[in-house]
Amino acid sequence: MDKRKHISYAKYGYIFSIPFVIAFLIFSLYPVFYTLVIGFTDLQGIGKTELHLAKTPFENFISIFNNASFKKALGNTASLWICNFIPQLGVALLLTAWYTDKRMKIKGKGLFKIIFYLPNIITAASVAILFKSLFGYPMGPVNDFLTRFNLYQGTDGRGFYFFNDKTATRAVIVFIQFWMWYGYTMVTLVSAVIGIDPGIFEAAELDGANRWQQFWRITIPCIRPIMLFVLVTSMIGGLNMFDIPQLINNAGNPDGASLTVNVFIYALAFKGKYQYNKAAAASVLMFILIVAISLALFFFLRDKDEVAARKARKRDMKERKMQEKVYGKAGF
Amino acid sequence: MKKIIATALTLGLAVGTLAACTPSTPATTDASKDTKATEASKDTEASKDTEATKPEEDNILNVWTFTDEVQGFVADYMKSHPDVAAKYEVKKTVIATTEGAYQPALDQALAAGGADAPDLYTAESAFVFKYTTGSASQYAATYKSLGIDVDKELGESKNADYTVELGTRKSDGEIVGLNFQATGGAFIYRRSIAKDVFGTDDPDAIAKEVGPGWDKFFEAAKKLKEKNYVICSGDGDVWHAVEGSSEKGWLDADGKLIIDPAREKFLDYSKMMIDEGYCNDTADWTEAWFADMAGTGPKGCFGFFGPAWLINYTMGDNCGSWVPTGEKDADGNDIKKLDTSVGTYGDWAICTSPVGFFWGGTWVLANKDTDKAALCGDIIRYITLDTSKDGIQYKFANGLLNDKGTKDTVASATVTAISDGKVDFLGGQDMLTVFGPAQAYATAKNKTESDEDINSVWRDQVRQYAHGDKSREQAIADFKSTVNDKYGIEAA
Amino acid sequence: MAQSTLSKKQNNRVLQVFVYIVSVILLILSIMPFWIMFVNATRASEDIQQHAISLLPSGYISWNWGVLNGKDFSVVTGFKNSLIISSCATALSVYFSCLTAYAISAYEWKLKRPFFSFIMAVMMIPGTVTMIGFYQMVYKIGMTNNLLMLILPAIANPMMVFFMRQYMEASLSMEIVESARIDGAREFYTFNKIIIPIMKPAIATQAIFTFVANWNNLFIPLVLLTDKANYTMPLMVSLLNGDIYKVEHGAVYLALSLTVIPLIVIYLILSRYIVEGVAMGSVKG
Repeated sequence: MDKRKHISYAKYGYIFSIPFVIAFLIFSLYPVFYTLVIGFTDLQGIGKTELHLAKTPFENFISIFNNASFKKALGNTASLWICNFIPQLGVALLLTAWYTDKRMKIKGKGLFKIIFYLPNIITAASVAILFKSLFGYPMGPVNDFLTRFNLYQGTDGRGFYFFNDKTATRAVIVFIQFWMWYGYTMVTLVSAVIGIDPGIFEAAELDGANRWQQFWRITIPCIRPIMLFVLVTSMIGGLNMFDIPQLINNAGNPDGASLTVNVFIYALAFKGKYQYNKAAAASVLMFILIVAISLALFFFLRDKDEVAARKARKRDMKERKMQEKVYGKAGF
Repeated sequence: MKKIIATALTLGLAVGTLAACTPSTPATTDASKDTKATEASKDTEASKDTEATKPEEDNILNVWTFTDEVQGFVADYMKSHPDVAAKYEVKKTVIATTEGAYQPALDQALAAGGADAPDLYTAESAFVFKYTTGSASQYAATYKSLGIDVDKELGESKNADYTVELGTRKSDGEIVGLNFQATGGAFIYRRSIAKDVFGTDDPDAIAKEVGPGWDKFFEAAKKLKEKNYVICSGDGDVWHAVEGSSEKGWLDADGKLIIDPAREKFLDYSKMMIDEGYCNDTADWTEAWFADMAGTGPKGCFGFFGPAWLINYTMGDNCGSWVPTGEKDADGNDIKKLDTSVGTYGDWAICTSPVGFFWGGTWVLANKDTDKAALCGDIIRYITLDTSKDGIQYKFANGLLNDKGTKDTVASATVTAISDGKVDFLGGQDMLTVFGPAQAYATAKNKTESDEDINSVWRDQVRQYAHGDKSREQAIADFKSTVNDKYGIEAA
Repeated sequence: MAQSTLSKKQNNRVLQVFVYIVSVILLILSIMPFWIMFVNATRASEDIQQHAISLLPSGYISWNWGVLNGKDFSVVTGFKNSLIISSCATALSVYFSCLTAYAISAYEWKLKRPFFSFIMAVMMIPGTVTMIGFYQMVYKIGMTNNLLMLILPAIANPMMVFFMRQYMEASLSMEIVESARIDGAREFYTFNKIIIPIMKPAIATQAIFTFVANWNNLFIPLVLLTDKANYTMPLMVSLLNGDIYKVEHGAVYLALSLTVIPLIVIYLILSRYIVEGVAMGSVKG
């Protein structure tokens, strides 16, 4: 049994992955496969389950490509995500830098760190209700404020109709998304910083590195994998943005200003003619798009050292195996 | 230790699921029937010889609703029929319509069938078309098949035509659903403003000032404007009436999108109301809308369009006359008292609307595969057709079903005739004198399956046009293209 | 920093004040909605309808509590179900995501890269439409009203696997695994006794996020759980909200407040790990 060492560890890679794979096969494979298939059928209408292939294989996809609302939704989704993600990551990074800096004495930073995540634990529905009445027209706290201090009067002193203005509606959604998620991003980044070996910071301090240098030379490179995670998951979440726009839609959707792709897909699948086939096709297109963007992100943000290290490891393994072959078993 | 428990738990769960999944591998509906049948047999003492297509008789009555209102009626039925209550158990399923969850769940349950399928289910006016005559109408049982002599009983109860029409399956002309609550609408106006502007608050006189027809309505709006009042809170109030009174609905016989001239005119009405200042530019169910009910909006608001429930459940609470006394009751709640010196309680009256319409309502349906047809029929009869003082409608009309004694309007004209509709909120006016005829005035001919979806797009485009953000032609063109893009409904 | 110059100290001071100002503004922005929610739980429905936002409590909390209990469901049951679903799903997610991530990070195996790509791909599947397939499947196997259908899928949580894998990449050194092996530890033992403790900060944050997401999950339970014995808290809130003719806003806010309290408690318990820097001495090589 001495042979076990060095040779058979690979099998644990497989064993430890089994639960994930099984759970995926049971619970997700069918729904995913089903979606893919109905993208090629003519399935429409409630309660229908019989599948017939569409007359031409890609007609649903082509129809989605030519759908003006889909294009608009895609544009909206992208701009809503970018406008909330950039400030969100910026603020989260800044806060992370402040609160993890041992040299900066911020009293109550533990409290701040905890509290900033709180907006994320309220359900989207309650958040939407809150903001709808905050920006209510012609009555609402924001409009009361604007008219009382004579900042904006509008027609007959009614104030500003936020949810009838495309830019304002989008701005409210962007703000809600930012407000709900910057704490989440910060907590994620903080947990990554905490995971860094404190010894590295101590060494840097001894070497006389200032705060700025420490952050850019040590913190950022060390939390880079987590930042990649934040970026990719935020992109996925952003392109799948659904509940806030959907809920805000009820208050106002001026000319489709808050129509996101997922809201659009939802409308295709669960409203009107219940066009499951087109909804599925749109989902598949979205999937392809997300994969493409993610691949690009991975490519541009890949850790060159890591890639080199992996290659080296592989080479190393090969050499080891060669040695094992030569010497029978490995030893130190 | 925790980890061991977690692992054990997980393994247990996993094994359980795998076991449960095994019969489903063929992934056909038969598999699910098998599992359900075995579950059901635990409940029934002996399995009877039933046909393969029909689920075996059990003692559970499945009732699916979106609020607990009809569940309360079923409970009331069981209370007054102890023999039935002893034999059957009611299994309530209430799924809210929030986020559109009720319909997908109901659709799945109807399609899946079996012992868990609903025996009785309800549909709201916004989507009842789908279940009575639209794409999910195949699941509905005809009232006749439930043992209801529906023609004869309707002759006696005289339920409002629009409720019968909406409950009739167009493909075979059979009645599959009926309503208990009448939701025909009236124009609800402020007496004090009426006296100030028109010199009278008499419902007949005001009806002649604001109608019939929209031209007279906007003439009245002009007169109100001269005294710095608005005729309505927002254009949405007018929309309910315009929508309900148009000749045709959104879809023609081929399912293509059409815009009825009356609905197209709403573009102009809405723009006029904004430009001329005939409304406070509010939206339904927002704070500003409620403020107009309490008379605290920017300009005094003359009226609302609505059925009895709007008065009972919305305006009554929001009229601003319920003020805290500063005292507390035994539970520590602030006590509120009616103080008519503030707010608008008692300052309202109703008159015939310039156009006929209805708003809301709940229809009761039964599953065609139910194994308890006779019971379902009896409950439906009790809720929608019984004209006696023991039936739901009489109790509902006379405020006997709730603590507050709130009176409502009911579908049956026979019940309406023997009910008392005097309401203090309306300054003692008998609301049935107006709501009674209003039920006959309403029509359901213009209802289609996609009304809710199409309305939202339409209202958005109208708002754009009315606020001067785009041209009339552009608004109509964008409306048509958006409906086609999102809902797959082409313009005719 | 004994050798810091005066100007440097002043600079520090300015920065510190700035940090405080920003922090306090964000603090207010974060607490405000909770305050409004708790205040509304004490207000009468019609008052809320007329002015949704108020900063001063009123005296209707027991009235709202009466409305909540007058409805045809039990708040205790809702709590219990929410707690079962959320804690089981969180435990499964966290444990198996760590395990899967460990498989990817710690071992060299042939299918490792394809498997990781596969997980990433799964993560990117948009959820709106796959939901149709999921309902269909659950209905077909007759497992509606079964809490397991909301718990077991948590085992495959690709986003968390991705996080754990990234985290391990940043802060897990293989040396410690090697030394455990030399000590004769089995792989599974190493994972449970050495890796899991190292991953604590990551586990804590992910556990919070997953618990919150499961606790607040509305759409799937709404369609799958039709028996009121299985209702979760958000389902009850939606039922209160879904009454078309008369929404009891006060009771809705009370229910929302009750829903959020356990989340706050759990969050505060787990937040220890994001507040204190849990030094990872064990990783040091």
